[in-house]
Amino acid sequence: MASSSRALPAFLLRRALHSVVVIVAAVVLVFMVTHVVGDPVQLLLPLEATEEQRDQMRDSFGLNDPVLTQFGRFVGDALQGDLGESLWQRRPAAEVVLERLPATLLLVASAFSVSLIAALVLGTLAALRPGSFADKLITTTSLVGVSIPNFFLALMLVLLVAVNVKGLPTAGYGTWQHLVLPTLALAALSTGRITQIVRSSVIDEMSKPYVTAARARGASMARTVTRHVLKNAAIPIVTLSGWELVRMLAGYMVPVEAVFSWPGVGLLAIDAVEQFDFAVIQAVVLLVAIMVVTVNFVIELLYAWLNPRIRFG
Amino acid sequence: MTAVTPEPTSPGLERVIDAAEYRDRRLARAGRMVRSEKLAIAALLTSGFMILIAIAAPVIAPHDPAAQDILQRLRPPAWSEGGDWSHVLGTDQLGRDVLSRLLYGARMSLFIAFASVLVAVSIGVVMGMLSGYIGRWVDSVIMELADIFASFPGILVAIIVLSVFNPSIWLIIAVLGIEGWMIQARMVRGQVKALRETEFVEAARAVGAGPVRIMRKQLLPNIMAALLTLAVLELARLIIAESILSFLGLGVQSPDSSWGLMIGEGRDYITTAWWVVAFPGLAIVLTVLSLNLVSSWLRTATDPFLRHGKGAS
Repeated sequence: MASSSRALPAFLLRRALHSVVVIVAAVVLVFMVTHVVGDPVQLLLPLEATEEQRDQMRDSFGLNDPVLTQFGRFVGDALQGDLGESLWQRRPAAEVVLERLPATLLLVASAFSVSLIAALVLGTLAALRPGSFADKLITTTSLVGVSIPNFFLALMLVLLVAVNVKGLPTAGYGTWQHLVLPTLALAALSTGRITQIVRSSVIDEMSKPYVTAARARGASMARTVTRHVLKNAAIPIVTLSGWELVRMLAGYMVPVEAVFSWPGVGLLAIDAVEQFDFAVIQAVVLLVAIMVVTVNFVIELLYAWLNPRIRFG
Repeated sequence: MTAVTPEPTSPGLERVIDAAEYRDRRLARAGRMVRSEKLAIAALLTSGFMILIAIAAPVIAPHDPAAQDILQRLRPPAWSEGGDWSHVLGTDQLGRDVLSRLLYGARMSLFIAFASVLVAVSIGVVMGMLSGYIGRWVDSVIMELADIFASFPGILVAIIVLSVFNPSIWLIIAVLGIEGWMIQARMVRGQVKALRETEFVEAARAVGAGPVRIMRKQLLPNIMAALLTLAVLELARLIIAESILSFLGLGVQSPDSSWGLMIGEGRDYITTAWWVVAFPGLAIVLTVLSLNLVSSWLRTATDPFLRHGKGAS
């Protein structure tokens, strides 16, 4: 026991350090792309601007200072929550991005819960009778699900609903009805992938002796599966689900938000690109990097909790 | 549970069942094999067909994919009302021939996907070999690097890079390739670690083969099958990734063609002109689905542990 109380903090410390390294790398990348390789002045001023005007702007932005000084200022400002001014909305970029965050979080949370629940149910159903009709149906559907790009599925849903279903909005934000189609479009891919892993890990577990033993003791199939099998099959499922959550947050939500005009961070990023609003693009990338690191950290915690060998090894 | 036919294990056992029953069983088993292989063959043929039309696009395309004709805009496919055989799959919002853009789109999408996989595999093999064969601090550094890259929001990095620089095909390939090497590296590292201590590698070392020679002659051929399986799976993923970027306007630019770009440009017309979006969408789904099937078939076919078990799907 004594070693466990020491090993866990060390493990946490190592993962926390890793998270910090990732965020620093994200900051460096954003700085490099926007300040060193790309020239903001070139992008901000019209083509006919004179060389003096350009130089004046460089001076006022501090772009003539040594790179390290600029980097120090960039990091210092960022630490105080100052990610620059949005030139398109004439407001602080951090403010612009943060007010879009709730919509994205709502969509991702909704889509992720749907995929996780659907995948656990479908994957287990398929695994209980491998080779049956239900299994074939579920396996085929999940294979198709992982092969459709989400924006195409989104557009097909729009087409289907616009023609056939009255009262289900195909764009916008506000009521639960608005959430239905974006959730379906974003959830399809991860549902398919998690279903596949649930199916294969439950099949693996079902062949183990303890299942036979539990059944022989008279435990019902439902009880055996929910109490023992799913718990033991959890590690690969948690790993993959975490990956899927990260993928949703880190980019798969962008095309879905674009199709449904969902006012989240992804739609903002696309608009900012069109407006050449680099402060906002920067802020989006940093915010998403922080969210991804947080999710990864939580997954590591779950993982350590589920598998003592990682915690103590 | 489905009943499992016992395999005839010895001639002694064989005599218990009569010849006709044995033949029936063998036929049944052969039938099962062919049925599962049939899907794989269909998938292989579909992938091959897509590659073929991609290569032959300039020869078989009926029109110049960039040629606009406003008088002919949004013509439906030949078989529906108002369509004619000069534009078999109809025309888009600028009057360009959908079939020709689809063929050239295959060329572009597949070229980018193949090239990015090549970049990812090359970096992945080198990194994984070094990591797995040398071990020690090299291993720690490379694995930490892979971890950092893996925690980066892929699509968003692509968005920031492709928004600062003009999106060129080579930049898209670089972004997608660099974003994908970690999976290959992890897989190669795992395999190399297992192979490092085998007799044949020991033997090669004993006769004086250097590390580079061992990696090339002993290790690489032995990981080829696993590498190919993973590469096909990555090909499918990268076709979707490219389609997302192009759909969002950050990838391939008009007048060039790509499946994602066609959908992105046609999405405003979806309710009146479904064919502009549906055909490239179906092309993506069909290609990605076949590649996924080929990859899972390769996995079962090359893994001796899976070959005789229940077919993985």
